[in-house]
Amino acid sequence: MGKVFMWLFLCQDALMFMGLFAAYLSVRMGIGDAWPSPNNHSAIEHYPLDINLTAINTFVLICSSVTMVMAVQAAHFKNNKGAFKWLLLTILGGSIFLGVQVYEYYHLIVGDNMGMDKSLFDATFFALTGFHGIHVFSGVAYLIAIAIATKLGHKKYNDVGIMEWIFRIVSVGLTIYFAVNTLGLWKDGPFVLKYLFILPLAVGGAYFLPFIGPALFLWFVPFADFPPIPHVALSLVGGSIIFIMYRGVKWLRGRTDLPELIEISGLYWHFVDLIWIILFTLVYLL
Amino acid sequence: MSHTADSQPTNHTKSYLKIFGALFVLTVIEVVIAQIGIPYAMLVILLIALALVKAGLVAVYFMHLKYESRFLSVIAYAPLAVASILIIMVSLEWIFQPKWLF
Repeated sequence: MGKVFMWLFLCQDALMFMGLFAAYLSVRMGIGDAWPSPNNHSAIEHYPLDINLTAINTFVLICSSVTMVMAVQAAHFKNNKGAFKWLLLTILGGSIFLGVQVYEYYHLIVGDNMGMDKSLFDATFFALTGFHGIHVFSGVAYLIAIAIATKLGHKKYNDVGIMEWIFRIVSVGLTIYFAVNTLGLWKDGPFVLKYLFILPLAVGGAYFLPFIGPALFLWFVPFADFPPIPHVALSLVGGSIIFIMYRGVKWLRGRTDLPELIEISGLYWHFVDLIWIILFTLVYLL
Repeated sequence: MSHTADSQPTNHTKSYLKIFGALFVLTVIEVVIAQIGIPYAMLVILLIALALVKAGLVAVYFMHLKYESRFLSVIAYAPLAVASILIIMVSLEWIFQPKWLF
């Protein structure tokens, strides 16, 4: 049954991407030649995107799709070790893809001065690739949870319970780091309030609700007199990783239908690859 | 619902490797023809056709649509129909745009 629901989810996700593609098409058809393009049809000479780098990235994603399908096959042959190995390779591929995309974003934003508010091309580019990047990110977290379950799924309750403790400790650690950082910024705050009330409250929250721990410290963002980008990024990324892994491992504990679980995660991963194939053609090559 | 786990699983490694090779070659072709400067209308048709072929390969072989039940395939292909309606409507809007508006 899980497979059907994953397909239904992928349907609505595909329709969301279709909305983005249709918006891209509408903008593109309306604007005509005044759109950067790698071939000589365009009226704009400078083409900011690096096609060869992204082609390699596409290749990496296709490779990770192949390793994923091999993991599904190994799981169907009840070869848990093989499935774990292929899952690790898939996670590696997804991580390389994300790393290259971050590198690309950095060079486009800092080097080429691109941004969501700079031009229609930039906004379209970042909206499409960004939405896809979020999908890859959550796919990697999903696969990590599945890989942990593949490794530990056959063990007893207590052994898997260790993972929960690891997530709790990471959550508490991140929250303490965050709390000390942000409370330090509040220069005229009373010491007792800062370190004897707010800090223990946050650490307790991070212990009992590990999945929202780091996000508890987003409250200071509106009051900061500097762009708190690293803080927000760290808290959102850390918070979502802990959320997905903690809930995922808790949910996967003691499951015996691993082959089907791996197949369902494979469906999601192939879907992400499929969207990238279309996106690469539309955004980079046309 | 049919469960593939009950029957003996079959080894598809060879066909997976073939699809991998096809995807790789098609990607190289795409990247090359996008930059050698063939007529734009032809390029658009070629690139979109190639992308659809690649997406189809992934869906049919990697996502196992070839081996799935009819019911699941209907769910999987449903958004394709909605998407084509959406794309056609958007295209029509620009082909028959009221020029006096602009």
